[in-house]
Amino acid sequence: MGWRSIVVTQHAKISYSGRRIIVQTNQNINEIPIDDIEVLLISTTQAVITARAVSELARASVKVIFSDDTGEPVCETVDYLPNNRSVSLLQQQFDWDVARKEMLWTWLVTAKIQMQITVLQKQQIDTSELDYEFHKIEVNDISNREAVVARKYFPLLFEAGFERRNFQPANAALNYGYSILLSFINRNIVATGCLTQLGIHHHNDENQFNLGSDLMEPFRPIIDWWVSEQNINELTPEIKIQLVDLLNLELKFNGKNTILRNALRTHVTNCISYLNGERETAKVEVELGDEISDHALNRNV
Amino acid sequence: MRLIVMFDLPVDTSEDKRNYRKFRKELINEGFLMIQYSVYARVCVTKQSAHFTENRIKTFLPPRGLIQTLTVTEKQYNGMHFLVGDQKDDVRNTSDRTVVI
Repeated sequence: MGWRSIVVTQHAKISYSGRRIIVQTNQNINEIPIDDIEVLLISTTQAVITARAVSELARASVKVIFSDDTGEPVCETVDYLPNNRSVSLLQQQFDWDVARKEMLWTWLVTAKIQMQITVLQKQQIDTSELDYEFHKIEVNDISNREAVVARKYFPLLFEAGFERRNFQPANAALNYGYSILLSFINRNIVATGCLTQLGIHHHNDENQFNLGSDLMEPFRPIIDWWVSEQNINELTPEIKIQLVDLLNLELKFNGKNTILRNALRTHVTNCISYLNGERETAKVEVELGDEISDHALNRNV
Repeated sequence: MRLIVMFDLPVDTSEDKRNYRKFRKELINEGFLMIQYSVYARVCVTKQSAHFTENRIKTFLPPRGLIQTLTVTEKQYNGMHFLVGDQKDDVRNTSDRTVVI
Protein backbone atom coordinates (compact mmCIF):
# COMPACT_ATOMS: atom_id res chain seq x y z
CA MET A 1 0.00 0.00 0.00
CA GLY A 2 1.67 3.16 -1.19
CA TRP A 3 1.93 6.37 0.80
CA ARG A 4 4.47 8.37 -1.13
CA SER A 5 4.27 10.76 -4.07
CA ILE A 6 7.46 10.96 -6.07
CA VAL A 7 7.99 14.02 -8.24
CA VAL A 8 10.79 13.87 -10.79
CA THR A 9 11.75 17.38 -11.84
CA GLN A 10 15.12 17.00 -13.51
CA HIS A 11 17.06 15.09 -16.10
CA ALA A 12 16.84 11.52 -14.83
CA LYS A 13 16.72 7.88 -15.77
CA ILE A 14 14.01 5.86 -14.08
CA SER A 15 14.55 2.13 -14.00
CA TYR A 16 13.65 -0.92 -11.94
CA SER A 17 15.77 -3.31 -9.94
CA GLY A 18 14.90 -5.65 -7.11
CA ARG A 19 11.46 -4.24 -6.22
CA ARG A 20 12.88 -0.76 -6.17
CA ILE A 21 12.51 2.13 -8.57
CA ILE A 22 15.91 3.61 -9.30
CA VAL A 23 15.95 7.29 -10.18
CA GLN A 24 19.36 8.18 -11.47
CA THR A 25 20.11 11.89 -11.79
CA ASN A 26 23.29 13.74 -12.68
CA GLN A 27 24.18 14.09 -9.02
CA ASN A 28 23.08 10.90 -7.34
CA ILE A 29 21.04 7.71 -7.40
CA ASN A 30 17.76 7.46 -5.50
CA GLU A 31 16.25 4.09 -4.76
CA ILE A 32 12.62 3.93 -3.68
CA PRO A 33 10.82 0.70 -2.70
CA ILE A 34 8.04 0.21 -5.24
CA ASP A 35 5.51 -0.73 -2.52
CA ASP A 36 5.90 2.72 -0.95
CA ILE A 37 4.99 4.65 -4.09
CA GLU A 38 1.44 5.74 -4.74
CA VAL A 39 1.91 8.31 -7.50
CA LEU A 40 4.94 8.90 -9.68
CA LEU A 41 4.75 12.30 -11.30
CA ILE A 42 7.27 12.95 -14.03
CA SER A 43 7.03 16.71 -14.33
CA THR A 44 9.78 17.11 -16.89
CA THR A 45 10.28 15.92 -20.45
CA GLN A 46 13.94 15.26 -19.75
CA ALA A 47 13.37 11.98 -17.95
CA VAL A 48 13.78 8.53 -19.43
CA ILE A 49 11.79 5.60 -18.08
CA THR A 50 12.38 1.95 -18.90
CA ALA A 51 9.62 -0.36 -20.07
CA ARG A 52 10.36 -2.67 -17.17
CA ALA A 53 9.81 0.18 -14.73
CA VAL A 54 6.50 1.08 -16.35
CA SER A 55 5.28 -2.50 -16.25
CA GLU A 56 6.37 -3.07 -12.65
CA LEU A 57 4.75 0.21 -11.58
CA ALA A 58 1.53 -0.83 -13.29
CA ARG A 59 1.65 -4.16 -11.52
CA ALA A 60 2.05 -2.39 -8.18
CA SER A 61 -0.91 -0.17 -9.26
CA VAL A 62 1.11 3.01 -9.10
CA LYS A 63 -0.19 5.91 -11.18
CA VAL A 64 2.50 7.28 -13.43
CA ILE A 65 1.73 10.78 -14.69
CA PHE A 66 3.65 12.31 -17.57
CA SER A 67 3.91 16.02 -18.28
CA ASP A 68 4.44 18.07 -21.41
CA ASP A 69 7.24 20.58 -22.01
CA THR A 70 5.45 23.20 -19.95
CA GLY A 71 5.27 20.80 -17.01
CA GLU A 72 1.50 20.43 -17.29
CA PRO A 73 0.31 16.82 -16.71
CA VAL A 74 -0.79 15.41 -20.07
CA CYS A 75 -1.30 11.69 -19.62
CA GLU A 76 -1.21 8.90 -17.12
CA THR A 77 -0.79 5.16 -17.14
CA VAL A 78 -3.86 2.98 -16.79
CA ASP A 79 -3.38 -0.66 -15.86
CA TYR A 80 -4.51 -2.82 -18.70
CA LEU A 81 -5.47 -5.81 -16.65
CA PRO A 82 -5.70 -5.16 -12.95
CA ASN A 83 -5.66 -8.53 -11.26
CA ASN A 84 -9.02 -7.89 -9.65
CA ARG A 85 -10.95 -7.01 -12.80
CA SER A 86 -13.37 -9.76 -13.64
CA VAL A 87 -16.22 -10.03 -16.12
CA SER A 88 -18.76 -10.27 -13.31
CA LEU A 89 -17.41 -7.07 -11.76
CA LEU A 90 -17.64 -5.22 -15.07
CA GLN A 91 -21.14 -6.58 -15.66
CA GLN A 92 -22.06 -5.22 -12.26
CA GLN A 93 -20.74 -1.81 -13.26
CA PHE A 94 -22.74 -1.81 -16.50
CA ASP A 95 -25.85 -2.79 -14.54
CA TRP A 96 -25.53 -0.10 -11.87
CA ASP A 97 -29.00 0.85 -10.73
CA VAL A 98 -30.14 4.15 -12.29
CA ALA A 99 -31.77 5.31 -9.08
CA ARG A 100 -28.54 4.72 -7.20
CA LYS A 101 -26.51 6.56 -9.81
CA GLU A 102 -28.86 9.54 -9.59
CA MET A 103 -28.82 9.49 -5.81
CA LEU A 104 -25.03 9.37 -5.68
CA TRP A 105 -24.73 12.22 -8.17
CA THR A 106 -27.09 14.26 -5.96
CA TRP A 107 -24.87 13.63 -2.93
CA LEU A 108 -21.73 14.46 -4.86
CA VAL A 109 -23.16 17.74 -6.13
CA THR A 110 -24.51 18.63 -2.70
CA ALA A 111 -21.14 17.94 -1.12
CA LYS A 112 -19.36 19.93 -3.81
CA ILE A 113 -21.54 23.00 -3.41
CA GLN A 114 -21.27 22.72 0.34
CA MET A 115 -17.50 22.66 0.02
CA GLN A 116 -17.58 25.66 -2.30
CA ILE A 117 -19.62 27.55 0.26
CA THR A 118 -17.21 26.54 3.02
CA VAL A 119 -14.24 27.71 0.98
CA LEU A 120 -15.89 31.09 0.34
CA GLN A 121 -16.72 31.42 4.04
CA LYS A 122 -13.09 30.77 4.89
CA GLN A 123 -12.15 33.73 2.72
CA GLN A 124 -14.87 35.83 4.42
CA ILE A 125 -16.88 36.16 1.22
CA ASP A 126 -20.66 36.54 1.23
CA THR A 127 -22.24 33.23 0.22
CA SER A 128 -25.93 34.18 0.14
CA GLU A 129 -26.16 33.75 -3.64
CA LEU A 130 -24.74 30.26 -3.41
CA ASP A 131 -26.89 29.37 -0.41
CA TYR A 132 -29.94 30.30 -2.46
CA GLU A 133 -28.96 27.98 -5.30
CA PHE A 134 -27.91 25.28 -2.86
CA HIS A 135 -31.46 24.98 -1.53
CA LYS A 136 -32.77 24.43 -5.03
CA ILE A 137 -30.85 21.18 -5.64
CA GLU A 138 -33.10 18.39 -6.86
CA VAL A 139 -32.48 14.68 -7.21
CA ASN A 140 -29.89 14.04 -9.94
CA ASP A 141 -29.46 17.83 -10.12
CA ILE A 142 -31.88 18.07 -13.07
CA SER A 143 -31.85 21.84 -12.91
CA ASN A 144 -28.04 21.76 -13.18
CA ARG A 145 -27.39 23.87 -10.10
CA GLU A 146 -23.81 22.62 -10.20
CA ALA A 147 -22.99 24.70 -13.27
CA VAL A 148 -24.99 27.69 -12.06
CA VAL A 149 -23.14 27.70 -8.76
CA ALA A 150 -19.77 27.27 -10.46
CA ARG A 151 -20.41 30.31 -12.65
CA LYS A 152 -21.04 32.42 -9.55
CA TYR A 153 -18.43 30.80 -7.36
CA PHE A 154 -15.25 31.37 -9.36
CA PRO A 155 -15.66 35.14 -9.82
CA LEU A 156 -16.46 35.41 -6.09
CA LEU A 157 -13.42 33.40 -5.04
CA PHE A 158 -10.97 35.01 -7.41
CA GLU A 159 -12.03 38.31 -8.92
CA ALA A 160 -14.93 39.71 -10.90
CA GLY A 161 -14.68 38.57 -14.48
CA PHE A 162 -12.66 35.48 -13.65
CA GLU A 163 -13.40 32.74 -16.13
CA ARG A 164 -12.29 29.14 -16.02
CA ARG A 165 -11.52 29.22 -19.74
CA ASN A 166 -8.99 32.05 -19.55
CA PHE A 167 -5.29 31.45 -19.81
CA GLN A 168 -4.53 32.89 -16.43
CA PRO A 169 -1.81 31.53 -14.17
CA ALA A 170 -4.42 30.79 -11.49
CA ASN A 171 -6.34 28.70 -14.01
CA ALA A 172 -3.20 26.83 -14.96
CA ALA A 173 -2.63 26.08 -11.28
CA LEU A 174 -6.24 24.93 -10.86
CA ASN A 175 -5.96 22.65 -13.88
CA TYR A 176 -2.73 21.24 -12.55
CA GLY A 177 -4.26 20.56 -9.15
CA TYR A 178 -7.37 18.99 -10.65
CA SER A 179 -5.40 16.68 -12.89
CA ILE A 180 -3.35 15.43 -9.94
CA LEU A 181 -6.58 14.88 -8.02
CA LEU A 182 -8.18 13.12 -10.99
CA SER A 183 -5.22 10.80 -11.51
CA PHE A 184 -5.28 9.89 -7.88
CA ILE A 185 -9.01 9.12 -7.96
CA ASN A 186 -8.49 7.11 -11.15
CA ARG A 187 -5.81 5.07 -9.45
CA ASN A 188 -8.25 4.16 -6.73
CA ILE A 189 -11.03 3.34 -9.18
CA VAL A 190 -8.77 1.03 -11.13
CA ALA A 191 -7.69 -0.57 -7.85
CA THR A 192 -11.31 -1.53 -7.16
CA GLY A 193 -11.47 -3.20 -10.58
CA CYS A 194 -13.94 -0.78 -12.18
CA LEU A 195 -13.70 0.93 -15.53
CA THR A 196 -12.89 4.63 -15.40
CA GLN A 197 -14.69 5.31 -18.68
CA LEU A 198 -18.19 4.50 -17.47
CA GLY A 199 -19.38 7.39 -15.31
CA ILE A 200 -22.59 8.05 -13.46
CA HIS A 201 -23.18 11.58 -14.73
CA HIS A 202 -20.29 12.55 -16.99
CA HIS A 203 -20.67 10.70 -20.25
CA ASN A 204 -18.32 12.44 -22.62
CA ASP A 205 -17.37 10.04 -25.38
CA GLU A 206 -13.83 11.35 -25.47
CA ASN A 207 -13.29 11.40 -21.73
CA GLN A 208 -11.52 8.25 -20.61
CA PHE A 209 -12.12 9.17 -17.00
CA ASN A 210 -15.83 9.88 -16.72
CA LEU A 211 -16.17 8.03 -13.44
CA GLY A 212 -13.13 9.78 -12.01
CA SER A 213 -14.55 13.15 -13.07
CA ASP A 214 -17.78 12.29 -11.23
CA LEU A 215 -16.22 11.12 -8.00
CA MET A 216 -13.66 13.94 -7.70
CA GLU A 217 -16.26 16.73 -7.66
CA PRO A 218 -16.55 17.24 -3.88
CA PHE A 219 -12.78 17.60 -3.55
CA ARG A 220 -12.15 20.17 -6.27
CA PRO A 221 -12.84 23.13 -3.92
CA ILE A 222 -9.83 22.10 -1.81
CA ILE A 223 -7.61 22.94 -4.79
CA ASP A 224 -9.56 26.18 -5.37
CA TRP A 225 -9.03 27.10 -1.75
CA TRP A 226 -5.29 26.60 -1.85
CA VAL A 227 -4.91 28.42 -5.16
CA SER A 228 -7.03 31.35 -3.95
CA GLU A 229 -4.73 31.74 -0.94
CA GLN A 230 -1.66 32.08 -3.12
CA ASN A 231 -0.72 35.01 -5.23
CA ILE A 232 0.06 33.22 -8.45
CA ASN A 233 1.72 35.16 -11.24
CA GLU A 234 3.25 32.15 -12.89
CA LEU A 235 2.94 28.40 -12.53
CA THR A 236 6.35 27.76 -11.03
CA PRO A 237 7.80 24.33 -10.13
CA GLU A 238 7.38 25.17 -6.42
CA ILE A 239 3.66 25.74 -6.91
CA LYS A 240 3.33 22.47 -8.77
CA ILE A 241 5.09 20.57 -6.03
CA GLN A 242 2.94 22.19 -3.38
CA LEU A 243 -0.15 21.20 -5.35
CA VAL A 244 1.05 17.59 -5.28
CA ASP A 245 1.75 17.96 -1.57
CA LEU A 246 -1.90 18.93 -1.06
CA LEU A 247 -2.68 15.21 -1.12
CA ASN A 248 -1.25 15.22 2.41
CA LEU A 249 -3.64 17.87 3.70
CA GLU A 250 -5.10 16.99 7.08
CA LEU A 251 -8.88 17.11 7.19
CA LYS A 252 -11.89 15.44 8.71
CA PHE A 253 -13.70 13.01 6.44
CA ASN A 254 -17.00 11.50 7.61
CA GLY A 255 -16.09 12.41 11.18
CA LYS A 256 -12.60 10.91 11.15
CA ASN A 257 -9.31 12.76 11.14
CA THR A 258 -7.32 11.74 8.12
CA ILE A 259 -5.30 13.12 5.23
CA LEU A 260 -6.69 13.90 1.80
CA ARG A 261 -5.11 10.94 -0.02
CA ASN A 262 -6.61 8.48 2.49
CA ALA A 263 -9.96 10.28 2.43
CA LEU A 264 -10.04 9.97 -1.37
CA ARG A 265 -9.36 6.27 -1.14
CA THR A 266 -12.20 5.75 1.35
CA HIS A 267 -14.47 7.97 -0.73
CA VAL A 268 -13.93 5.94 -3.92
CA THR A 269 -14.52 2.64 -2.12
CA ASN A 270 -17.67 4.01 -0.47
CA CYS A 271 -19.13 5.27 -3.74
CA ILE A 272 -18.42 2.09 -5.66
CA SER A 273 -19.77 -0.21 -3.00
CA TYR A 274 -22.89 1.98 -2.84
CA LEU A 275 -23.35 1.64 -6.59
CA ASN A 276 -22.81 -2.10 -6.31
CA GLY A 277 -25.58 -2.21 -3.74
CA GLU A 278 -23.29 -3.29 -0.91
CA ARG A 279 -24.10 -0.34 1.31
CA GLU A 280 -27.00 2.01 1.73
CA THR A 281 -25.31 5.41 1.67
CA ALA A 282 -22.10 6.99 0.53
CA LYS A 283 -22.01 10.15 2.54
CA VAL A 284 -19.41 12.78 1.88
CA GLU A 285 -18.77 15.03 4.84
CA VAL A 286 -15.58 16.99 4.70
CA GLU A 287 -14.46 19.38 7.39
CA LEU A 288 -11.49 21.57 6.70
CA GLY A 289 -9.07 23.17 9.09
CA ASP A 290 -8.72 26.92 9.43
CA GLU A 291 -6.02 27.53 6.90
CA ILE A 292 -3.69 25.57 4.69
CA SER A 293 -0.50 26.29 6.50
CA ASP A 294 2.49 24.01 6.65
CA HIS A 295 0.98 22.56 9.80
CA ALA A 296 -2.08 21.43 7.86
CA LEU A 297 0.10 19.25 5.67
CA ASN A 298 1.05 15.91 7.11
CA ARG A 299 4.37 15.48 5.42
CA ASN A 300 5.63 12.53 7.43
CA VAL A 301 4.50 9.06 8.26
CA MET B 1 7.55 4.06 12.32
CA ARG B 2 10.77 2.18 11.62
CA LEU B 3 11.44 -1.49 11.59
CA ILE B 4 15.07 -2.21 12.39
CA VAL B 5 16.66 -5.58 11.63
CA MET B 6 20.00 -6.46 13.19
CA PHE B 7 21.85 -9.64 12.42
CA ASP B 8 24.96 -11.69 13.00
CA LEU B 9 25.31 -14.50 10.54
CA PRO B 10 28.02 -17.15 10.37
CA VAL B 11 30.31 -16.97 7.34
CA ASP B 12 32.42 -20.06 8.05
CA THR B 13 31.45 -22.29 5.17
CA SER B 14 30.60 -21.36 1.61
CA GLU B 15 27.02 -22.41 2.30
CA ASP B 16 26.87 -20.00 5.25
CA LYS B 17 28.16 -17.24 3.01
CA ARG B 18 25.56 -18.03 0.39
CA ASN B 19 22.78 -17.98 3.02
CA TYR B 20 24.05 -14.66 4.28
CA ARG B 21 24.16 -13.09 0.79
CA LYS B 22 20.69 -14.36 0.01
CA PHE B 23 19.24 -13.01 3.24
CA ARG B 24 20.85 -9.61 2.79
CA LYS B 25 19.67 -9.33 -0.79
CA GLU B 26 16.10 -10.24 0.17
CA LEU B 27 16.18 -7.60 2.92
CA ILE B 28 17.21 -4.95 0.39
CA ASN B 29 14.49 -6.13 -1.98
CA GLU B 30 11.98 -5.62 0.83
CA GLY B 31 12.97 -1.96 0.82
CA PHE B 32 15.44 -1.98 3.71
CA LEU B 33 18.34 0.41 3.84
CA MET B 34 21.67 -0.47 5.42
CA ILE B 35 22.19 2.16 8.10
CA GLN B 36 25.41 0.44 9.10
CA TYR B 37 26.92 -3.02 8.64
CA SER B 38 24.40 -5.66 9.75
CA VAL B 39 21.83 -3.05 10.77
CA TYR B 40 18.97 -2.42 8.34
CA ALA B 41 15.96 -0.14 8.68
CA ARG B 42 12.76 0.50 6.80
CA VAL B 43 9.92 3.02 7.08
CA CYS B 44 6.53 1.45 7.82
CA VAL B 45 3.36 3.51 7.76
CA THR B 46 1.62 1.78 10.64
CA LYS B 47 2.26 -0.80 13.30
CA GLN B 48 0.34 -3.30 11.21
CA SER B 49 2.53 -2.76 8.19
CA ALA B 50 5.64 -3.15 10.37
CA HIS B 51 4.19 -6.42 11.57
CA PHE B 52 3.42 -7.44 8.00
CA THR B 53 6.97 -6.65 6.88
CA GLU B 54 8.34 -8.66 9.78
CA ASN B 55 6.23 -11.63 8.74
CA ARG B 56 7.60 -11.32 5.22
CA ILE B 57 11.13 -11.45 6.59
CA LYS B 58 10.21 -14.66 8.39
CA THR B 59 9.73 -16.30 4.99
CA PHE B 60 13.39 -16.00 3.99
CA LEU B 61 15.37 -16.52 7.18
CA PRO B 62 18.71 -18.34 7.03
CA PRO B 63 18.93 -21.56 9.09
CA ARG B 64 21.56 -20.38 11.60
CA GLY B 65 22.80 -17.19 13.21
CA LEU B 66 21.22 -14.39 15.22
CA ILE B 67 18.61 -12.01 13.79
CA GLN B 68 16.62 -9.54 15.84
CA THR B 69 14.09 -6.85 14.99
CA LEU B 70 13.03 -3.69 16.77
CA THR B 71 10.19 -1.30 15.94
CA VAL B 72 10.57 2.34 16.94
CA THR B 73 8.47 5.40 16.23
CA GLU B 74 9.62 8.13 13.84
CA LYS B 75 10.29 10.42 16.76
CA GLN B 76 12.44 7.88 18.55
CA TYR B 77 14.31 7.03 15.36
CA ASN B 78 14.99 10.65 14.55
CA GLY B 79 16.16 11.23 18.09
CA MET B 80 19.12 8.96 17.40
CA HIS B 81 22.46 10.55 18.32
CA PHE B 82 25.39 10.37 15.97
CA LEU B 83 28.47 10.36 18.16
CA VAL B 84 30.76 9.79 15.21
CA GLY B 85 29.66 10.03 11.59
CA ASP B 86 26.46 11.21 9.91
CA GLN B 87 23.04 9.96 9.04
CA LYS B 88 22.59 8.20 5.67
CA ASP B 89 21.32 10.65 3.11
CA ASP B 90 18.87 8.46 1.20
CA VAL B 91 15.22 8.66 0.21
CA ARG B 92 14.62 5.41 2.06
CA ASN B 93 15.86 7.03 5.25
CA THR B 94 13.13 9.70 5.22
CA SER B 95 9.43 9.43 5.89
CA ASP B 96 8.38 12.34 3.65
CA ARG B 97 5.12 11.74 1.88
CA THR B 98 6.17 13.84 -1.08
CA VAL B 99 9.64 13.30 -2.45
CA VAL B 100 10.98 15.71 -5.04
CA ILE B 101 13.89 14.49 -7.10
